[in-house]
Amino acid sequence: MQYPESLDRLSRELSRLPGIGKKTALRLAFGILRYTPEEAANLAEAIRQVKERIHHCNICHGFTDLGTCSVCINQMRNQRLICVVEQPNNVFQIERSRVYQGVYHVLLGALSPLEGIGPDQLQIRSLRKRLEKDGADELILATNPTVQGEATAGFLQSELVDLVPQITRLARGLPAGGDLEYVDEITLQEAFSGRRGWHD
Amino acid sequence: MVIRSLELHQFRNYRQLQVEFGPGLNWLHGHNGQGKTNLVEAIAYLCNLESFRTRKTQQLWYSEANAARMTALLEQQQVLRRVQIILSTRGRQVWLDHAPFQRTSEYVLSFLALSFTPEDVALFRGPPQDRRRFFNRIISNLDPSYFRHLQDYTKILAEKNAALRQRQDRQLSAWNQVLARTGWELIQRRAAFAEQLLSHLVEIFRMATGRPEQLSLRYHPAVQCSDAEQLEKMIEDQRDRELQSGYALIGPHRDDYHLFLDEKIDRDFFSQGELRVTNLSLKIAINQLLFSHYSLHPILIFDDLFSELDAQVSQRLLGLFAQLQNQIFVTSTTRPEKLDTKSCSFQVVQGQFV
Ligand SMILES: [Zn+2]
Repeated sequence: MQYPESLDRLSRELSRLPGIGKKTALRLAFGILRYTPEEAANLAEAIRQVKERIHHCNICHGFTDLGTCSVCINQMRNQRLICVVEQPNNVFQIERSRVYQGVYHVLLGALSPLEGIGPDQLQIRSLRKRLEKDGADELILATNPTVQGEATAGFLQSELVDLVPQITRLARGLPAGGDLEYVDEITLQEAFSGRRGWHD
Repeated sequence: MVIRSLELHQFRNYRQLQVEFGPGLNWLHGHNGQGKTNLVEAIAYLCNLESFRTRKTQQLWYSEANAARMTALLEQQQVLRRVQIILSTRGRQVWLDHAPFQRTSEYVLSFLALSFTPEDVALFRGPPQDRRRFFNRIISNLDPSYFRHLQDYTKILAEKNAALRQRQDRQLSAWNQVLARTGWELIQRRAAFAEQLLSHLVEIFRMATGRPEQLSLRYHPAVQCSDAEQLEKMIEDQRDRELQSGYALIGPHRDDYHLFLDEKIDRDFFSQGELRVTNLSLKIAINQLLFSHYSLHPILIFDDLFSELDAQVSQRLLGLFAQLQNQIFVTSTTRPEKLDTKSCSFQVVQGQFV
């Protein structure tokens, strides 16, 4: 028997989400079917609201439900230390670690000519304007350790070198709590070549 | 690694075959056209996920069938692993220990067969990409980080070529920088490999032939440079030409390798017999390197070993095989004269073992 049309549609919509295969999408769709009409309406409303209320911060382009995000607006944070990341979710990842007290700039992607992404498709011009207008003491390049992320970091380094006294790249190294056994060779090699003195 | 047993179903001229092999030398003999090469082709496919004879999968199954199945029990460091490969019009399915296995690159890095076939002599007469492909595979087995750098390099090269085609010259330098950095990792490892191989190569060639010349594998990098910065600068110097042609003109994707007997280069000056015996020495030298550095024992396949080799060389090779700890498959039209107790011999007649 074929799935009824509306159920089939829902599971196909769900399977477009990252990490959701056909089977999981069907399981989720059946889960939603078990909801009361009120619960289902709640879910639909949450989806509608998130799209309506969440947008990009007008300074750093991270996600926020205000005009300017809580990090950019917070004067307790070091506004002269800017960490550059690829995606809005990277901001939340770094925030969870609680080690960083500066602010962010989200590029909304990485250079990839294959995907048609050049400097003009990324939030690089706004970063340049930010540096020209307010200045900064240090720029931390925290793009992903992929080839696209590395190329983007190299690009930013050469484009912005005159606008900020110090540009650093986030160290690549061993995942914390990870067993050496499960670390791939490249990460290990980098961890060795990037090693620091005991008291650094 | 040792193949304990092999089952073939509808593979080439084998309708159904079930065979158990010995851990040392396995000698397959029979007239031409009986299926000796087909059998070692199946063994090589099981390890490398590619045939040494064809890229066309449909040639691999029995003429009236439309699928083939290979099942083997492999022993790897005292652990038994069951491998099954199904080839059909829908493509290839690999099963490892009763579960589907999709990571092809991980598979071929854990199982390795070095095959020596009469077609191999084309390796050093054919285009350089064949040699890069061959040595990429070998160096990846020696050094898994090489494989990762190679994957990165391939991605960077594709991005850079796209940037060149779209004339995105503003971001070109950023790609040249990562290309040079990753490319330098490849260049160093390729040079080190040729260096490490040298002593084994000299020794094996002298042992097999008794000839006085020094056999060497020379790595010919497309760019002569001493570090990543210099490589980057040399690539930058080509910027205008690259933008004009629309693809990356220099870098290790243009590298090459050649065999030399003293100062005589393979391509133009080796006789057919020399090509054959130097290729053979190369494969055995690679095996020695894999063993001496990493205690690895790939499966060795010598298809139609004794054609075009003189009797003295053949005798010396058999003496050498007896010292190796690998599982070895040899095909020949002749029966072995005498085999030691560790060795097995099989006669192949029309897709059957008798
Ligand atoms: Zn913000």
